[in-house]
Amino acid sequence: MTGAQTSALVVALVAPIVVLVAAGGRPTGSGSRPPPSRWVQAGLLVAAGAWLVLVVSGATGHTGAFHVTPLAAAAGCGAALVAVAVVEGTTRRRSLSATCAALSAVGVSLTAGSDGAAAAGVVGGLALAAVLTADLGPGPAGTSRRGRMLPALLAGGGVAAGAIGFAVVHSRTGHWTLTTDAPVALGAIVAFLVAATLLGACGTLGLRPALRSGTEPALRSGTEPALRAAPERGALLLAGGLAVGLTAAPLRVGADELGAAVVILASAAVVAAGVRRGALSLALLALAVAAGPAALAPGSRLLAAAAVIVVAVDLPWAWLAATPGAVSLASGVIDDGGRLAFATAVGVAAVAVLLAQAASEEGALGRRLSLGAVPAASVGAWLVVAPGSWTWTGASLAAYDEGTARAVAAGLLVVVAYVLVGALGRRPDAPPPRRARSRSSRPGRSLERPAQLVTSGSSASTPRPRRATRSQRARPIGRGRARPAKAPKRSRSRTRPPPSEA
Amino acid sequence: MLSLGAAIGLAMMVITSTGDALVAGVLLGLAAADLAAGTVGVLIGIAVVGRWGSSSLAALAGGQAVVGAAGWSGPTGMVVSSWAAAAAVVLVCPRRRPASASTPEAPAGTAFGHTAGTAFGHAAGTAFGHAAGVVASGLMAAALVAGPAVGRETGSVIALRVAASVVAMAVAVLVGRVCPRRVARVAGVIAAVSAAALAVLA
Repeated sequence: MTGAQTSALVVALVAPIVVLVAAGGRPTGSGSRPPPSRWVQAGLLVAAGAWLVLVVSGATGHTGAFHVTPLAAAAGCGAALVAVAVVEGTTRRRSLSATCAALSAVGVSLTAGSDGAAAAGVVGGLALAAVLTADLGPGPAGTSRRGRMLPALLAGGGVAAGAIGFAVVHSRTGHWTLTTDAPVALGAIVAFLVAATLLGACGTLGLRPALRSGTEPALRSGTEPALRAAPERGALLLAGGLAVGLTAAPLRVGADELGAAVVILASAAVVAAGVRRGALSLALLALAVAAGPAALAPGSRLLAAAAVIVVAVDLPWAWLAATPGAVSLASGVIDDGGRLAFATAVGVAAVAVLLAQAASEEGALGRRLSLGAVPAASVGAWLVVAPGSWTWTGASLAAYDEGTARAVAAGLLVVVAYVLVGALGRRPDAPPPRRARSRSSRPGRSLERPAQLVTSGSSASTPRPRRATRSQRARPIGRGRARPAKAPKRSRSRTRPPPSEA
Repeated sequence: MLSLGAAIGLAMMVITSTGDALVAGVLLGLAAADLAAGTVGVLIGIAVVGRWGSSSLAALAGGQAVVGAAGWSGPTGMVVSSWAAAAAVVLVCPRRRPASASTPEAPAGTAFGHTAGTAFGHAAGTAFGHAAGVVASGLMAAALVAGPAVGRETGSVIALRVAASVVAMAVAVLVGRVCPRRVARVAGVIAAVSAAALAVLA
């Protein structure tokens, strides 16, 4: 490793702690002062940048008791981006501290060991991160303690499975290190895959499941409790878990040794997509592909990257980040031509159809991208447009890069020109579009629209309401037009504003 | 806006014969804003992979430049597969959305860029996006059967390929007006499945 790479590694590991200490002395955001979460996000972005430097420079080697591989650096960068999204809007110092410390712990687990992944570093780091990300305190109303225990149990199980894997490795080789050039017993690989699966499940459990059929009214009325854009702290474990699985899976001896694991993981991914758990589905697919033929390995890394981005962004269109992985997988299936590769491709196709259906249904609700998810979304856009530049994945996608770059350039040019022509050619007497869009028409607030219309139209004592603008009208999710709902009589009293507000 | 950008991007990819057929399928689904169209697009990508051994659109164009147009060269099963793929693209072509469903205030016949009361001319945008979708679908269908109309193989049978593109666009418009949307979607999916199966098994 060069001096710059060593410095970047130090910054990546230490920056979260430094920013935690620096932000700890700052007063709570009030007035013009930014809230402490913004300072923490800035520090976490520095850590993500340091990891990115390691990825782009292709850092491989060790310094002291730490080592770096491109996969580990990419996982660290992904965990940092997830952390930036996690702390979005967080005001509790305890949560900020736990997130920063957990990110450092994940970084240590990824890089501990001079000649490979050391058991003490991996298990200890992940265990510490699991403890720091566990949220067993009093939760918000409507959440049960049992439900909040589940992520902690999954994380604990994942760490225990990882420890078992290292124990099996030690029993066969006498070492406590997982090196990339030495084959590992099948039992150890299975244990590592179980660990990755459990940590991945923990990492995606805090996400709001995508829209299920029949829940539109609850979401539109705002009674759905889990409408949030930021992931939970447990999401930090996803990148670490996937890194463990993707590191261990290629170390098998035979080509078809893990055929059963491939089928089980791919089936689980399809089931997860069926219940609208997109990030978990992609994570399981990545592990299934990693356990499959070696020709599919680049696809597994791209899918894992997509899973981490989906966790950070938590919006349906983020699932497009899986496209490069699917394309790479297709070329891998052509090269391999085996049954196992074909079965994996079938699983990917099924997941793609299910997630596309879920995205088409949920996209009508139009949730917004949070500020903390912007860095992850930018990296996701980079992944979709130019995955060939992600050399650490080993994917060869030159044709994809060329075509997608041209398509994006042409599409953006036409859309921008169209918007400019539309703005310049508007009649002078026409109202500007922003004036027509009321504040309540923002996608994030659009869920309250039906209730507002119902209450304002049903009050006999209030003045006649003005005609609702187009943006205030209820829009149907499916086909056809929405009919105005009848107002319940009880709601009349609620429509009258208090004298102070009137 | 997303549909418009996807349609333009798809047209650019097909015209220049660059990019990946699976990505083109995804763009087709985005352009049509329809899950069935996306499924058809991905199935067509699989058909391309099955016949040409690569999902690259450059391989599709180069292969047709060497062995002849896919619509009348090669084994019968492959030829039928190409025609079925082209038919599927035409059937799921993006359609103009009724203005009453999304823009109840939009006056009929508003000119492009001059729509009062609607942000950025939604009705005109629908028409523009629809036209772009038809052009992109026609180009893609023609590329599957007769090769790209312009681009890398401009020296050979260019007139035939241009004619194929124009005919495909005309058929797409005709299907959009004559065939009900639901029927067209089902028929498109069936045609795409047939194309993929024939290309893989034949």
